This record gives sequence, C-alpha cells and structure tokens, in this order.
Amino acid sequence: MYWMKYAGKSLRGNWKSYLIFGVFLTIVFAAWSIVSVFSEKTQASLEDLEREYGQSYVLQDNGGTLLTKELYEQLRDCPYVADIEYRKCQHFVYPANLTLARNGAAIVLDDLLLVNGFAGFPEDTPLVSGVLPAQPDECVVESSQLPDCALGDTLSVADEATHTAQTYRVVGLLDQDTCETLLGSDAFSGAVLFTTLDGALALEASGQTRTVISPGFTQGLDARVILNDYHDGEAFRQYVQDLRLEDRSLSALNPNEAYSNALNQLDDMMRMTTLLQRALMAAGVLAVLLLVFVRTNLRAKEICILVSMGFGCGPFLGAATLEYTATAGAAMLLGLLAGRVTEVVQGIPHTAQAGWYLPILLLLCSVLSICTAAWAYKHTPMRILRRRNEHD
Amino acid sequence: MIELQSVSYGYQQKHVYHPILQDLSYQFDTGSCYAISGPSGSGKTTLLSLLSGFDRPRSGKILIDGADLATLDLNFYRAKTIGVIFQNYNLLSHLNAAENVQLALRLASVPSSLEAALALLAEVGIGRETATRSVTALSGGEQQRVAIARALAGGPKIILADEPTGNLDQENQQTIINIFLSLAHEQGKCVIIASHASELVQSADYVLEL
Repeated sequence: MYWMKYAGKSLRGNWKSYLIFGVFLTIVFAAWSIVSVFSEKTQASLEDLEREYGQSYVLQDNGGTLLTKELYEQLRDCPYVADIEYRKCQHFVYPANLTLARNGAAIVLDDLLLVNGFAGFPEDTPLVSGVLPAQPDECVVESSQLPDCALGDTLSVADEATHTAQTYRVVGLLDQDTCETLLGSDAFSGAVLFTTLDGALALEASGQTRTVISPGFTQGLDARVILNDYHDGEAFRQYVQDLRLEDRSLSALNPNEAYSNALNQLDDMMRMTTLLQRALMAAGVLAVLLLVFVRTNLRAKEICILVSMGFGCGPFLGAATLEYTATAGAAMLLGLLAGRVTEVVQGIPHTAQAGWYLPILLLLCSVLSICTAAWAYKHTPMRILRRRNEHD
Repeated sequence: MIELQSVSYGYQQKHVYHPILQDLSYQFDTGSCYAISGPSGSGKTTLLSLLSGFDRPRSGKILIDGADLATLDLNFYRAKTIGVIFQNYNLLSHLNAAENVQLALRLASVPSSLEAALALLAEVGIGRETATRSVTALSGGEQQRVAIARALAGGPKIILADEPTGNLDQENQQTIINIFLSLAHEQGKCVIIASHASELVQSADYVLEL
C-alpha cells in the first residue's frame, strides 16, 4: 500500500495547504455543530413545553355536574389519555338529609359539610397532628367546625334518603389554612373531611337534612387530563365532545394562554437555527468542494510527474481521496468536538442526531475526490513537465 | 531496442495542421548514447514524449524490443523500462531526495529501503546528508543528479533526457554528461538525449538531426 504512505507524505509535505483548508473546514463545522446543539436544545425546549402544556387539558363541565366514576372510567379508556390528575378533586356534599355522628353521637353542623376525596395528598401536607389517610375508611378533618374532634374518633355520615352510610376513623387534623390550600379555594364554609379517593366514592350522606347532588370524584373543572401525545389534542377534543352524557356535555380546553406565545417564540427560534444550520452545512459542502478542486488543481504538475514515473491511476485516486477525506474528516471531528464542548459547558444533554450528516458529507467528499482526481489524472496535459514550447 | 517506423506527429491549430515529425524512421540500440538535435520547434521534445508514451504518433509505430508501444502497459513501461529526465528536474517537492528515489523504487517493485535509495544516489554523487534534505534546498546540479538517480531506480534499459543540462553551469553540465556516457557505455543502457548543448551533442555516440 505504497499509495497510503505517499498520501501520508503528501499530507505532511503540503501541510500548509491542508492546514488552511482544515482550519477553514473546522471553523465551518464547529459553527454548524454548535448551532446544531442549540437547535436541539430549542427542539427539546419545544417538546418539553408541548409535553408540559400541549398535552394537558382541563375538562369543562357545561352542566356543572361532578365527574362521575363512570365518566372517569370512560375517559380513562380513551386511547389518547395517559392520566387524569385529581389534585383538586373537590366533592361538595351539600347538607341535605345527611346526619353526621361522632363516636356514635349525632352532631349538627352550622353549615355544609365538605368532603374531599384525594387521589393522593402532597407528602408535605402540614398536619396539626396525626397522619394522612391511607385507607378508604380513614380521614383527616379540618376541625374548626368540629372543635372537639380528636385522633381516633369515628365520624359517620349517613344519608337517610338512600339509607347509605360511611364511617371514617380520624387519623389526622388539618388547620383551616392548609385546608384552603388543598382545596385551592377559600370560597367555602363548613366542616371539611378529607378522605382517600375510594372513601369519597362511597360517600353519600347529608349533614343537615338536605340532598346530596351526586356522588363522584370531583368537579369537572378540576380534572386535568394528560394525553399520551400532544399531537392527539384535536382528536381528544373531538372525543370529549362526542361523549354521551345524558343531559350534559363536556368540553376539553387547553387553558394555558402563555403556551401558544412560548410555542411561537420557540418555533421562530427553531426556524432560525434550522436556516443557520442549512447555511453552515452549505458552507461546509462548499468548503469541501474547494478543498477537493483547489488541491487537485494545485497538484497538476505532481500528477504529471507521478504519471511519468508509472504511478497508476488507481493508487493516485486512493492517495488523493485519503488526503482530502482525512483532512475533511479531521475537521469534522474537531467541529463535533466543539459542539460536544458546548454541550458540556452549557449543560445540554448530549444528542448525536446532528452528527449523522457528517458521514454523508464525508462520503460526498470521497466521491468528489475520486471523480476530480480521476479527471485530473486523465486530462492533465503532460506538457506541464516541459519548460519550453510544447512542440519543440 | 527502439525502432521508429514511419512516425509522424503534428498538432491542429485553428483548423490548420502543423506537422512536427514526418515519416521518421530510426533505430536506437542499447549501449549507446544518442543525441537528438535540431532547431527550436523541430520536434526533439515531441519525439521524447512519443518515446515516453505521453503522446501517441498520428501515424507509424514505435516498437520497444519488437512490441508496439501502443499495446504496452504504460505504467509498467514507465516504471520499469524507461527513465525520464527533464530539464527542470521535476522532482516531487514534498519529498526529500531519498524519498523521491524510494517512490520510484516502489513503483518499479524493487526493494525500496532507504539504503537502496541512498546507494542509487551515491552512484550519481549525492551523499547521505544531501539525500535527506528537501529537494527544494538542493542546487540545480544536485537536483538533476537526484532526477537521474530516480530515473535509474527501476533499472530501465532506456534513459530519455530532455535538455538535462539546460539549467546547469559548465562544471555540472560535464558531470551530468559523464554520468550519461557511463550509463550507456558501462551499464549498457540506451541513452537518448534531446539537447541544444553542443558539448552534449558532441559527446554522444550518435546524433539524430531533426
């Protein structure tokens, strides 16, 4: 493989020429690589934003009715839905035909009883005492309406109309502020009894001889539905509209007004970085073309000397391709390294997507090298080796 | 060794054909030094180009040991059968003197060690220290001797030299002439030199006047 040794010596012997091209190519590819990193960062931000807001829908209950278990299950089975959150799943139990008993003794409340079914309490929920409920028959209470309530007490809520009842054991006490925070609203009055979700489901009771409107999970307005993919938004909206809900209807809306603005900004940035990427890639291709054509042109005399020595076309193509591709490859590697350094410095997670363009460009460089070297080998006039009149 | 059979060559310029060589027949043999002389434009360099295989005659044949040059593997022919020497040396400037010779040795598929290259260079009076210097740092006479060593690398039977002393001073001219005569008379090669230089023409065994 003497042609490989020859390529090595040619690279070394013409190092100034290759260095100039190498530095130029490195700058172009480094710029491209850095722009690609920021492009990917923008893309990631865009996807994060879309995941954060674009997948999130709030169900708006036009009939003002609670989200029932049946509806919950129906929505849960929707192919677009990944999860339904109940962070503020308030269950208003209106005082109607309800009786409340503590430790077996009937008590009368001044105002409505608010029962809250939580899918999960925040772990850092501050309690006056006790623990958060973990079982369906456990509860925590806000005790302003039940001042004598203590841990271990049992609270029974019975509905005289339906003859159903649910008994809870008090495992924790909340103060009013915490209670309001958990409910997300201070527009209530009365006693609050927080249970686990299943407990709330079972509840049908009346605090003051008035009717419970409905058992259920929560008010519709508070159910946050997370889709599998933000692209499913339109289909999900349609799905919700088509739900058959007796006398009421639901709609799904994306409530984040800032989302569309942020999305537009990121879209603009994405377009700009994409344009810049393309421009730099075009500059890279141009630089490779320059490297190949200029270097081949510069070595016309060398080609003639090699021909006169019996250096074959194949070995010359191999040597030339190796020289150009090694120069371009080294520049690309340095460019990628610059991008990697940028990722590390900026704390951007590494993605190798952009790098896939470079082997293609390297292949293009090889093909160009072979074609131009072949053309030069075939067509460079041997008269270059003569000093005087070619027909002397 | 080399036989020219009615060789003609010319070039076309603006639809006008300019003949350079017309119906030239000649025979070059081994062990002799030939000078090709003639005025500018007479076709001395053209004849060497034809003999090197850089150009093809318009008509006629060039036979090398009885084989038509047009049918030979030109790379093999240039690497093994002939050695070409130019007026302006035409050494590969990114290689040093020894590397120029080593490359020629490799192309001729003969052992291409540094020592082999140095031995060839020593034959033309180039020492080890000079041999490892860049060719651009050598004098004209030294470069021409490196070019001769390179031409000899493949052990060619034919040496083709185009104005080999054209850029050299008197002392170096005589050195180069002596080398050529030695190649012809002592090593039995066929040395063909195109030149204006009267000293060189007078030293040759035969003169082909164009």
